Amino acid sequence: MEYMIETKNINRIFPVTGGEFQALKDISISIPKGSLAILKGRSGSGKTTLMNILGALDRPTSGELFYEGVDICKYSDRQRENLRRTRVGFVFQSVSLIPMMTAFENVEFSMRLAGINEGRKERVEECLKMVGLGGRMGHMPQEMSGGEQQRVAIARALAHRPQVIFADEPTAELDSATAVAVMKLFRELVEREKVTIIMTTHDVGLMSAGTISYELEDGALKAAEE
Amino acid sequence: MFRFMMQKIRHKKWLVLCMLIGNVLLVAVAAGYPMYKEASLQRMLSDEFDGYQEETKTYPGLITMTATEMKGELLTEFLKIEDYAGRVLNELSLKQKEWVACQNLSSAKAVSGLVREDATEQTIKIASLSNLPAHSEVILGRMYENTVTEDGFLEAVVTEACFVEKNLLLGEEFTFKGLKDRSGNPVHIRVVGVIRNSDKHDLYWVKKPDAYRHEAFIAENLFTEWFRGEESRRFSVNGSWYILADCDSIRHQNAQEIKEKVSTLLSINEVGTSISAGGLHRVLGEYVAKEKKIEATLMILQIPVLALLAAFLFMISGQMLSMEQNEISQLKSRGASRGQIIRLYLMQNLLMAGAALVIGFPIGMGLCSLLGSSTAFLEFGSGRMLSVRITGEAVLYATVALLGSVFLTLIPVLRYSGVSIVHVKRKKAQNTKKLWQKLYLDFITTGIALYGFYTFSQRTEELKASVAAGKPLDPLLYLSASLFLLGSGMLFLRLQPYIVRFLFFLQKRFLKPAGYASYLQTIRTGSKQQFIMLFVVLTVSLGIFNATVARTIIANAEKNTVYLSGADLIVQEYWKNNEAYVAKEPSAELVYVEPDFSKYENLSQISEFTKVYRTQVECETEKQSADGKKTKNVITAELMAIRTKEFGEIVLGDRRLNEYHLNEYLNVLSTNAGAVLVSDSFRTKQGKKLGDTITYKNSEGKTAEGIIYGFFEYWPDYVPTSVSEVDGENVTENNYLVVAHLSYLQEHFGMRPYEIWMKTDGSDISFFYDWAEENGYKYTMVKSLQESLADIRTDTLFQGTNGILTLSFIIILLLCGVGYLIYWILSIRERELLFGILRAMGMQKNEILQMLFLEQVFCGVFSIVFGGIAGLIASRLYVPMIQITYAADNQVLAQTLITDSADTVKLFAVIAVMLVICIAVLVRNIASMKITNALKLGED
Repeated sequence: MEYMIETKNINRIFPVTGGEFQALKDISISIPKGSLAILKGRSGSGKTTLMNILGALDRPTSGELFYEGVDICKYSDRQRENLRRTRVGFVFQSVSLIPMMTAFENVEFSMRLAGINEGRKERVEECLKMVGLGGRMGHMPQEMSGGEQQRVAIARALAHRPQVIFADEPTAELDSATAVAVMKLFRELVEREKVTIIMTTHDVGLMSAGTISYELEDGALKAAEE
Repeated sequence: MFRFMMQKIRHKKWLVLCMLIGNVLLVAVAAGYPMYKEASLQRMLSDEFDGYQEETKTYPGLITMTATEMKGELLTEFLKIEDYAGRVLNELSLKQKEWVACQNLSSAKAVSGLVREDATEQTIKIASLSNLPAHSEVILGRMYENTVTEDGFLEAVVTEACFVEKNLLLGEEFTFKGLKDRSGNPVHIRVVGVIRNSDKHDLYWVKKPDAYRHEAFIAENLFTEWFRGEESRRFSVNGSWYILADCDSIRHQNAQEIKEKVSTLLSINEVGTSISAGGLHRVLGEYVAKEKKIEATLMILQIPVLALLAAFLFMISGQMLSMEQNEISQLKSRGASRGQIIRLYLMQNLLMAGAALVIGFPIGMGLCSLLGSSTAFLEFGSGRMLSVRITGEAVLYATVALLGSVFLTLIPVLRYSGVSIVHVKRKKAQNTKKLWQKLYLDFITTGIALYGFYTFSQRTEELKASVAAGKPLDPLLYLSASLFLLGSGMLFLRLQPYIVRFLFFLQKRFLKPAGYASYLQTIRTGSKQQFIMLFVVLTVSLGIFNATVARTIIANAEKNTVYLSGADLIVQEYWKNNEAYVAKEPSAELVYVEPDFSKYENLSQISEFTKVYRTQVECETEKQSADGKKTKNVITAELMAIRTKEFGEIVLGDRRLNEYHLNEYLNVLSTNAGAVLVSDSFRTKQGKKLGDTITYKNSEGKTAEGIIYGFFEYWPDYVPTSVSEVDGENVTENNYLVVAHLSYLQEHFGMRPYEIWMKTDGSDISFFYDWAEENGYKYTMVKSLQESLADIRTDTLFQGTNGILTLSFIIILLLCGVGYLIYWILSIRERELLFGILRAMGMQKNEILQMLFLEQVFCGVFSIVFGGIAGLIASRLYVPMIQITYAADNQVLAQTLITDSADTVKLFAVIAVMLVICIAVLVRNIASMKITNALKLGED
């Protein structure tokens, strides 16, 4: 099987006053391409820390992280930034849109960052329609509801055709109906766009929605299900 | 509550620091201005006193009273004056420096007790001087006793001059047959000592000892007992009281009052008495006349800064509170009442105000003394330090300003404490037009300013006349200029978004992410920056405007002084002559002895020198009226006789003031010994043409002729027209000047005292005084350009204006710097989450910096450029009118607008430093930012 992301024995240790805190302990997982992977666990279990490392926002203290078989822990900052611009999309827990940009501009911005100059308008419209916001493209973030904002954020994470989308608790601030709709959207995206989605959640009801799921407890991998 | 407040302050230390800086500056300025004004005026007063003393060689604080009684006649008046002399200082509220009572009997014949070959009879005045022993030194014999000797003698001392002149002997006794004591015996005195002043500069000796040539001084108590006793009005007594008021202790605030009291004093008119206080009356009068103008001018100049300070504090406290909105609403939700919240902030503000008062005062004083040494805009140095003291007025101003600040910064609290958090958030989301834009305040302000400009420009002649009458800067004029700057600043705020949008429109498609983000940031959230942008615009425009005002008024005054001086150094030596003889024998020829002229070659500091003879002449002209009638007309003209080549080498100032270069005039003159150059007034008022001959006559009746070779409008030290007041109306008078050859004049008028014009190498002019004193040369006039220029630079009006303009600029710069920094630090803090997102999306730190840098360009650089333009326009419009206020009475040259590129460089250097510091802080802030931390912020 082709793996999008593989980790080997990842550890993450934070210095804290009077010692160290091990946030992640020997995490080794393999996420196949085109899967909807779910990281679950209670708050403080290390989900977000793992996600930050997987998304090349943070570096592990030790261990290896492969994107399509290449160890990106050896990448320079510049290379990692490039990776994030072109191959990765992010959806954050809280509202993460750029406040001074309209929905359209927010989505377009990720394409600008990825260096895509051609066919931007069409792709932005496509993505916004995909998340059901084709009619609100000119609205400012503060003029939209939390669910709408989150869908714009998903469209943004998608627009530049990344290989992986990381979504940290994307449904945490949404009501359950909207949450279900977002999950449905994710499944469609995996199928239509052939993208790998890795998301964290603590919502038990959503866990079955993924193709693969991992459970974290106190920084260690407790269980993996397919 | 106090602990909670302290905790809050610690938490927001940067903002609190900025507030504190704002308050400290407020105190420094509010207290600084009155202190500066007070110190400047005080210094001006003491300068006036010094000037009087230098000019007249008499102590300015001297009040002299005299009275005479004749054997009881006029006694009432005498006693009245005597009593008045004792309490006059108290009545004038002046401190006493010295108080001298001199009493003497009229001269009387006295017979010496010695048998002498020369006169045995002398004319001697028995006299007494109060407190004499303390102020004199006995050079022969001893001081008198306060008691009558056993053999009935009054002991007396005499001055050196008296001793020598009267050829007295120590111990010599005199009998006054005409003066009888109570028992009817003649008065006897014995000369026991010879005195002189113990200290050359002792003010006690208003009349120098040498002037007491006939006085024999006896003890004051004996004089009173013997000659002033109640029952014995058998003598004629003269009394002179020399009362020396301590001029240094006169505070300028009291000048007016004291002047009025002195006037009243001088109007006392009793028979046989006299009162004079010329120095006090003149100095105080001149001071009072100038004071009002200076006080008003300094006051007007400070208004814009005070307004800006208030705006600044309002802005900072608003910003601080917008950060504390959450806190306030939390406090409310925890049950704090509105009153409690207001009290909390009131306490915090008061604490800050108290601290500002303590820190601000010394800073204000420091600024004042620094300003006292300002010589030009943003230039300090050669001036003298001011002695600055804390005054009640300063404390009052500072306190009022602080209370204003406390109240002003409380306004946002009142607003926020009354509304719920939901309301606030909704409000925050809106980016609506500001009230001032809806009201078109920018257009209105600029319109008013331009209208002000228009009306003033229509009235420049009136303005000149009111300045000539001693009126200060018209407040409306300066206000117009300030309004113009404010109005154009606001116009810029309205304009700037369109400019940015236009640029964005042009580049939109190809913009890199950083540029794209910063354009959108500026376009969508620009209104938040308006306040700070207005500050930048005002800083730059006011900086340029102030620099131009300062530079222009000083440079024009200096140019005028150089023109009126003519040369670096002009002196007139004292010439010995036989004037006294000629007065007795009118038939004799007046002869002057020319002092050695070659001695100036020995002065290494002087490179060139020449003779210039100046005198007044009468010039007979004929005027032909329209009907062909000729009328004779005698005019008075100045004559200047020169040596053309040397004159051309030495003379200073712009040589291109006339149609032709000054050297060309001199060349033409040099072609004929009998040629003259004359002022244009000969042509315009007397109908003279080139080639005409004029005849002129000096005061001795000697005549000379000259053929007119040229007309000029300007000539070194020539004032074309002068204005004088006749019957309350200003009358313009034309002045005439004839320039001729010195050798030709000396042939016709004889050798007469000439001036020597010199070119120095720029060394301190004291070399000349030292040299003259060393060699014993006497000069009746020494006029040094260096000293005249120094006088301008230390002139209170000029220096005060310079000082306040500089201070205003520094304050605004500080405000702008602090405000700019706060704005950007807060802006970054607020956007930390956004930066985290951008970084997560793959933006580099560099790109984020680029983005911020571009925002700085839109906000800062745009404002700087626009401020520069506004400042230049304002200078062009308003400075020509403002400088009229500073025109000298003898302003000859047209006043021109003068800018010094060094000022602009300085200004931009200072602003550049501010921007660099700001950017450095931003870079540091961004560089230390961690993506993951920034993102977590969003999860709270």
